[in-house]
Amino acid sequence: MSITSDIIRGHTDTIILAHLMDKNSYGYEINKSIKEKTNNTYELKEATLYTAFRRLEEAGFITSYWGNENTGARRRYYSITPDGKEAYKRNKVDWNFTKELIDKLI
Amino acid sequence: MNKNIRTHVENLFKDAPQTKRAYDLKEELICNLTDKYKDLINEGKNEHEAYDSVISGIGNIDELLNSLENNSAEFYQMQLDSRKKTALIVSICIGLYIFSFISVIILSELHLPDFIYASSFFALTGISTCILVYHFMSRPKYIKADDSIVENFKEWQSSKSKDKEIKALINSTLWSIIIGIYFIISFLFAAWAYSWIIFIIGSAISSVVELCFKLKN
Repeated sequence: MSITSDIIRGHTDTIILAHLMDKNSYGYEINKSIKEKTNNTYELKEATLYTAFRRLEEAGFITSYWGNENTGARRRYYSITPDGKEAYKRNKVDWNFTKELIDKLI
Repeated sequence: MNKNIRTHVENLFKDAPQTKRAYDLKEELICNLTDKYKDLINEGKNEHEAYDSVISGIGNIDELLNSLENNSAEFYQMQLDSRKKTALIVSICIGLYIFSFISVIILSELHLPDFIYASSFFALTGISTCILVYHFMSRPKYIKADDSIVENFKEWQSSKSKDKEIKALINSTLWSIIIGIYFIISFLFAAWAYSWIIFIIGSAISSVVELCFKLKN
């Protein structure tokens, strides 16, 4: 399981970008959907998630804005930029290539 | 329990820089953790289980906090560089001012026509004044590290003191030029009886400068 986590961690940025390709979202919603898609087997640590957000924001792949919920605390939403979409496509091609390669080797 | 989540996160952030970025991140984190907590309660967990699960899910936030620190280090380096540049330019200009007096002494010893050393004096003071004025006008204002009130105050203060600096600079240059003109005209034309009028003209010009700054604000 720890090896799996390590491999996934290397793709945190791409996983986040993939979620933002569909729609703008916020931290917990992204993590919840990761949990649901993996049938409760995988979930990002908050620390990992928000570090990735900062990194992606600095790279210009995503932008953030504050939502205007009426119920108490404000949520920070993220949306993907054209550069981010490019990066996502590139990473996905890379991953497919790696996957095929590893499949042949093990 | 919601309060406990807030307290826990506040505690994690207690060594973080007091910036808007850090504050926003903290609020974002609290908001999302609270949502998670509510979901876990709805799934039927009791308060303690939900709280423990939320807290253990945070993980190690050292790297996240470091990314906040790095930015401020970069910012201080920038401030430091700009201060060094100012110090260098000011010393060069003071050097030029001193040299302008020395040049007058040397050239007058050579028994050259008066206008030569007068013009060398004005050329040198003129150049150094131009450099100083240009530097202080083009120097970046204090740039806010973030949007906090303290930073806004610093920016406001810096724009005020920048005006003051320019005004003091113009005044000191004005008066050294006036004194220069006074002596040169007095010696050249032996016009000691009338040349004091230059000082009145000078104070009028200085009042006009003052007025210009008032109107600008």
